[in-house]
Amino acid sequence: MSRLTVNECGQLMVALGWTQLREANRKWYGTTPDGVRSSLGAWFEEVDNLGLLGLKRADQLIKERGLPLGGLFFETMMTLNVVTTTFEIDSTNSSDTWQFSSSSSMGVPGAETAATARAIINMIKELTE
Amino acid sequence: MTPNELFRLDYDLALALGWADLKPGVGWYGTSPDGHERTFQYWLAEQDSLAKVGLDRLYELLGRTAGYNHAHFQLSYEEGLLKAEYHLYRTDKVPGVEWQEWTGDSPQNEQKPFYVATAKAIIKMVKELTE
Repeated sequence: MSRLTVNECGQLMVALGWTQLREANRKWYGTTPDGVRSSLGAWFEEVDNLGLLGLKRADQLIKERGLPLGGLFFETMMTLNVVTTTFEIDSTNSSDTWQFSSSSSMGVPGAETAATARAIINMIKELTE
Repeated sequence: MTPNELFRLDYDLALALGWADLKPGVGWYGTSPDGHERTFQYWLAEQDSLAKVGLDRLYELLGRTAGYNHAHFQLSYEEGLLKAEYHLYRTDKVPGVEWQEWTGDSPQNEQKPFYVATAKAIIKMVKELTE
């Protein structure tokens, strides 16, 4: 898979709770989940880890929806050519497990970030539908 | 984690990732594994993810020993504690059974909890594999 497209960057921001999005010159601006006006690039530089952000966002949505949460994990698996990231949500009251995965070729700059972003977009879509 | 402890963690992490001749300054300045002199923190900021840097390092060290299958990195949190884990599976041991794991953790409300937990796991991992 390729690098994130401009459109996917916008989808990621929505998934992570950004509002008032605006795109200019292929860059995204908006209001962060804690109410600060910022650009995606500037915000990314402050972020400790995208996987952790995905975990926190999923945790928040699961709690808001009152879903029974047994465990929440983020995993990065790497072979010689491919990096795959997976979010796993385990339920308490059954053996149900939900997994959201995405892979990127190791040759692509930002391979893990792209894979993680796509997995977050899919997971949050599912949790908010 | 105090600023001094974080500074020491940066140093231990740089060594674990193969840096040499480290000197303190604004951050740590030294020689990167590819032989260039630069600032460790700037180099780290250019990498895709510390989790992947750790996996890269693990595969590099395993390259010297035959028979590994695969490794992965996992992040989870429970009761305010963030846990970073590296898991290694080897084909020359029982197939499909985990062979080794290295764990680091950090309180979630700490600054940079991912960095702290993952750095601790990498430092343990490299120490054990290079002893």
